[in-house]
Amino acid sequence: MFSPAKAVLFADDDINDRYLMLEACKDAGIRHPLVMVEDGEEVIHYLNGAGKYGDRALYPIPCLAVLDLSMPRKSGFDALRWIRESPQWRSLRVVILSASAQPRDVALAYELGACAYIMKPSTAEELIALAAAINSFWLRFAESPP
Amino acid sequence: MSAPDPAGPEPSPATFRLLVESAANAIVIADENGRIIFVNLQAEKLFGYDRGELLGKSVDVLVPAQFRSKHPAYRQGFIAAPSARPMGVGRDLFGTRKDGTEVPVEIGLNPIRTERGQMLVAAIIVDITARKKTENELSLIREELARRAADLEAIVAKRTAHLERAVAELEAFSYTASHDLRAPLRAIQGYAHFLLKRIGGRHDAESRLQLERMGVSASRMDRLVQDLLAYSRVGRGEADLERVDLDSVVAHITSHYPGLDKIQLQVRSPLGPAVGQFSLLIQTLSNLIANAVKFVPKERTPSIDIWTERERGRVTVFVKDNGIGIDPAYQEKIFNPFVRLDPAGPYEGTGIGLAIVKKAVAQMGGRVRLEPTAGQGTTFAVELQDEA
Repeated sequence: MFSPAKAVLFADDDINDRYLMLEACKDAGIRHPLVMVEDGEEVIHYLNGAGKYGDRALYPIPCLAVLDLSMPRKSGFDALRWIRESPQWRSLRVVILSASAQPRDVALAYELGACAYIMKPSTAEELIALAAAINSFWLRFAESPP
Repeated sequence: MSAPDPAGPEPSPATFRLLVESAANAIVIADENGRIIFVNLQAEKLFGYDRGELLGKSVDVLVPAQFRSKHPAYRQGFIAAPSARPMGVGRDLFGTRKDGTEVPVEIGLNPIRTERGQMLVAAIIVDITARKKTENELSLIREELARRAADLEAIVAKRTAHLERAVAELEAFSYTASHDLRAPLRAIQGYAHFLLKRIGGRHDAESRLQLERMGVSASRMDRLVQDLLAYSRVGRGEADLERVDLDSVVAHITSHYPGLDKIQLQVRSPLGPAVGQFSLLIQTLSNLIANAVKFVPKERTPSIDIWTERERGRVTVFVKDNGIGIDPAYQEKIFNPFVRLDPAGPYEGTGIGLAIVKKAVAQMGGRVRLEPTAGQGTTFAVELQDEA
């Protein structure tokens, strides 16, 4: 039976960061579907398949979530907390991608069960390198939870 | 002439009377029924009576009205078990004067058995008005002190809260600065990059150069923001200073900073200890080393020499490189933030490194200076305390 490829779910409230991440992922050769949402609340709706997200052909199940921290409505921390408490999603791999690496934030992210904490690269070259690293590590070498 | 007989003639009763009259304390003698049979001059003065008025009266008249009814029972108790002792232990005692006013006193009671077998009680009464006054004043002063201490604590607590708020605000500002100021810069640089890629060879060299410069400028601004934040974070508040082993500081730097294996680094171990803080020392020496590596012409292999010298309780750490050198005329200027001696030159940097060094060293109570260097290169000297 055909099962659609799993997606990489990105959450970021900054339209530029979303756009540039998409470009970088294309440049890095990521073949997984890339889906973008704008805040933590949307992450939860997406995972719940609420509303339009119920269409899994358009909005496939993710195998990796890359979350910004500072977002309106629900933050990356809120989304991460929800994911780790959700019976269905608690093993989802979550990578935090934040503009700041304040020790307090880094500590909390790992405490809440983030798989990695990455500071947003400041150049497009580094962003492409990061996308390539995500592609090779999380999407290729690392086993996805069954 | 013979020595006076130590057991020799007793003083006359008149001498004893003079002695008792001249005593500094009041003396009242009563019989076993409490009738006053003797008072001295001080007793007259203390209670305001002439002795003629007191003789034959009950000692109870000298006791404050509220205790007077109980006094006969106390007296009988004393007669039943006579012994020399202070009266009213643990209580504040008062005597009543003729005019009805009360005076704080201390009373010692002494039973006296006369030759005729009569039991007398002698009371030695000390006026403690002055002592009570001092005690009251002392307790007022203690209360005042306690109140002032409490006030002071309240002020300190208020200022601490104020400071904590200021630090929290500063941290919030740093966060905003790093998050919100950097986002547009990332965007400019990113769009410039992808646009350049997209137009490829289709546009003229001039357009591509302009796009490139746009990206480079945005990146540079981003670095400035990051460096400014790093500078503002150096040693916020008081540093807890201790003796730190400088060899472990250098070892930490060489193991954590990539690229140092490509340079010649001579550390004249042991460097020994210095008074400072580990993280501030890391910032100091890593910035000096990074600086040394940065300002070396491309064709030369960077070579850095680190050693210490000790003198009169001070230890100086020297970091010498084989770079392009710094004109001593700029000795003061180079430690200011964002100063670059050759902004158009081939050596990149935002000019924050040495400013961070200066701030970190000052936090440790030390000084940093540029040393005259023979031949090529630069030598920085960081002077710290040897012992806390």
